[in-house]
Amino acid sequence: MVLSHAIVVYDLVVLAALGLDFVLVSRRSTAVIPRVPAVLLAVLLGVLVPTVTDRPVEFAAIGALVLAGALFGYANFLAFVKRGITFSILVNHARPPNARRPDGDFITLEERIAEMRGHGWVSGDTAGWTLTASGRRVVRVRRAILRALHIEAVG
Amino acid sequence: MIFASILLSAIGTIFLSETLGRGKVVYTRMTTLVGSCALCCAAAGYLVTRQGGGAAEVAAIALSCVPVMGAWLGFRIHVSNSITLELAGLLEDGRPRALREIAEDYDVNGHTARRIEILQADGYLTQDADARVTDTAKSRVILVLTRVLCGPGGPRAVADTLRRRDDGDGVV
Repeated sequence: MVLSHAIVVYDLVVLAALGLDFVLVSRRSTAVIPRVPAVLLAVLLGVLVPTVTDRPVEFAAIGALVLAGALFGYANFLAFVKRGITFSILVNHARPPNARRPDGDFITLEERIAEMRGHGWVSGDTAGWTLTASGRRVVRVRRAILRALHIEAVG
Repeated sequence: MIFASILLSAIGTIFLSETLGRGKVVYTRMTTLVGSCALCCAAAGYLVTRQGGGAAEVAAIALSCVPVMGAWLGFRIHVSNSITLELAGLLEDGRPRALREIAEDYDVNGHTARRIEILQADGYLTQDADARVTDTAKSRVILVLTRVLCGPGGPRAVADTLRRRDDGDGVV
């Protein structure tokens, strides 16, 4: 298979596999990391590389870029559709005012603290939470990105 | 050549859409992002065909740009909108805080109001005090998409957390 055809085939398989995962598995769960499709697609990439007759190294590089990009984007997409505050607010505001929840409920701070604890960004207990060294690094990196790209933070 | 074209298209798209968007929240200006991507992929495709490439090369560049831009979109939304990252920033001063203090410092109502302002400014919610979902094509599309993607109760994890909280079982 020539390089361009192999890329098109692999791209389509990646998009189809993640679409299928969403419809069959991820839509009904609360998980945001698609482990099974990630492993299968990585294996497929390894299988396809030797079949590319011209520039297999370039194919491997493009495949890795596409796979990493797709998985990262898909995980963020899952987080957005499963935990997105904006979607929650829109659904809430589609109801009559007397049938709505307070919008602040959707922020679910306790879930965020649990998430930070899971990532190792905070330590402590219900009496008081503090940032770990890892958490401080994350905060510094985020601030640098916001500054460099002039991004408005609305989190 | 294809690898370089994909990278250049992606970088060009990010540069163009961020310049035109001037730091605004990315999901309120998706047309700019999609348009920038189409433009940059078309430019890359033109250059590739000038050097002897064919339709398959152009398709490979355009298709490969989709997941790369998906990653950028996810990263960009996460950096600007992540409540978790915002909370982490609050704790940077080193003072231990209980959940109640974090909620006060974060200003839940203020942040919620800001999100509603953004949705009103972008035409998804009415400008009055009720802030109802507007009766426009784009609002209807978003609501249908939300129900299809997230389920009828909205984002599943948020709905589950609220259900647990309502049942008195949601304390960290």
